[in-house]
Amino acid sequence: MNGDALSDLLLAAIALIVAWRLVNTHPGVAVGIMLVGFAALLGVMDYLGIVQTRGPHHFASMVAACAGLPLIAISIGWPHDAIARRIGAAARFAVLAGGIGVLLVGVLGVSPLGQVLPALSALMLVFSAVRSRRTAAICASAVLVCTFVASAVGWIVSPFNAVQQLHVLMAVWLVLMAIDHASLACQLTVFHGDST
Amino acid sequence: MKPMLFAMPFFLLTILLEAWIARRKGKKIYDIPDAITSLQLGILNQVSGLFLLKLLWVGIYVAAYEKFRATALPIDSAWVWIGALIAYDFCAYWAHRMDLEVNILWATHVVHHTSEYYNLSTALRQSSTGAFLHWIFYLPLAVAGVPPVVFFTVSLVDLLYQYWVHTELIGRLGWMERVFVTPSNHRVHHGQNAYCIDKNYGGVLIVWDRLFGTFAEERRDGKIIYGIRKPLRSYNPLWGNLHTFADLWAESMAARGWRAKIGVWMAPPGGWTDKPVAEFDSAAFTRYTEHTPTALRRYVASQYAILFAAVMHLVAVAATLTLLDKSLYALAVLATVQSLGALLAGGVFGRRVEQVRVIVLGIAFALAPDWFGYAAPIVVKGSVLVILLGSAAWLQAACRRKVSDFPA
Repeated sequence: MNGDALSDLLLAAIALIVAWRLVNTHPGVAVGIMLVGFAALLGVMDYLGIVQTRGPHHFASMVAACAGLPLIAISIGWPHDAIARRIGAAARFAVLAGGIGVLLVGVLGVSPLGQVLPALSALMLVFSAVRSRRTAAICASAVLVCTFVASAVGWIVSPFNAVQQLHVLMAVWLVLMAIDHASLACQLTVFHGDST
Repeated sequence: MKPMLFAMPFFLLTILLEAWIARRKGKKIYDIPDAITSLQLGILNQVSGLFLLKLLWVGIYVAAYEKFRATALPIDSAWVWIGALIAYDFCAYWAHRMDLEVNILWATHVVHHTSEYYNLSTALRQSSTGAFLHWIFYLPLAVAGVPPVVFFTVSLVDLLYQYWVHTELIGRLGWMERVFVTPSNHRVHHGQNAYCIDKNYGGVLIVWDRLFGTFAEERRDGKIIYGIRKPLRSYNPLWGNLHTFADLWAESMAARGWRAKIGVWMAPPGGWTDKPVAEFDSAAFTRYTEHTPTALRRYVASQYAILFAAVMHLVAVAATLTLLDKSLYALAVLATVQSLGALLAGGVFGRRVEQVRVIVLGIAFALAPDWFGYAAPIVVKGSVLVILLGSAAWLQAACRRKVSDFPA
């Protein structure tokens, strides 16, 4: 297995594990992460040289960029909205936003949107994290911003290449986000325990 | 080849046959204004399809297939066709389910459920805005590599299959009820009784509903009341297509904050709730009717016959017409369906509008060198002119009488 496939496998595994752990408590975030994980899973096969997965990988990556990341950002930014609390609402957002994203970016060629939406999502995550004052959340959003900035300006840290660095940094972001959600859940348990 | 050119006369003949059989059996399953409204909506669906919406669907599918397909599946394999039909039906299940569970999609689909009768004409009561977002649900087929020719053929098969299930004349069908969509299980889908709401979304296969927990069997103990909880109560085809959009727009404007405004369009028709569907008081239900005089109903039916021929012609020649000509022809069709709808609602205004329509179209048909590519013989021109001017004269006489003066 080459490095690109291995890094995407790492991202896929972490994304699917984190999504699985969050699906009951944060369904909106979980659906968004699932889209990232699914794209990464197809990416593993693509980087392994299975040419049949190249198109589907591009398709799924576009859906993850246009629907997955915005869904995560919206669900974290407004945790009491239906989209964050109900899996049905999150799924319909994923389908409609993903479809329209594919239409605009993939079919009509409005390529910048494929970068603008993830960037806006990252900024929104930073804003939510700073507002929440939780260390893990701030670190997670900072990692995501660094990921996109590094991709955009071409900063590559050895021993990775651009693709591997993107995958690894996104995996780190997801781990930090999972830690943040786990600590938040602990705090809520303590809070509810005290109040009762 | 234009399959709809063959399907349209078949639809009309089978509707007449069903109405005749129902009459012989003494079953009141047809109401002329309701059936004509359904047919008018079917016509609008066909005409709107000649423009942007269906082209949008075709264009997006082909572009997605070219750009993202995993592989090009062979079109000479029977398995590809069978697999594509099953996969299409699976996507259609979700598209249909979302049609009824997401407000913006419900607005594009609601018109199909507005009839309070259930007969073959209801099958043709189709939306003109359905293609607006439906393409999204079929993108996975393009990515899987289902060739466009296979996709569009199976989509037609799936659509045509659903025609025959819109009838009350066919009872339960034994083992078929377990696998396929049948008249019995689709009747449930069109009901507004509590047990019918959000059930039986399947297109060809009912197994999807059984698999995803949305199946409900037709009950023997109570009659199904067809239609929607907030009835349309109009014969206006354009309003039929737009009334839920108007409601949602008003609701969205009234909502506070941009998230709530957007949320209105994405929420389910009943809002986000975990409460069970409210019971339906079938005893208090009365079907919508305007008691249109029989003479006017017959008039509308006769005008519909002329309109039907014109729409067949439009569908046949649409590809050869310029955009301007196609738009003019479509505008004439739209004016006709709107005018006939107003006529069915009764009232003098509708008759005045109809008079203007028949005079303008009669003169245009007679004087134009050709009717959108059809060089009509002088006999046909004369006949159409006489019929349409005769219609105007008949309406003039009708306008002098009050609705109550018409023989029942």
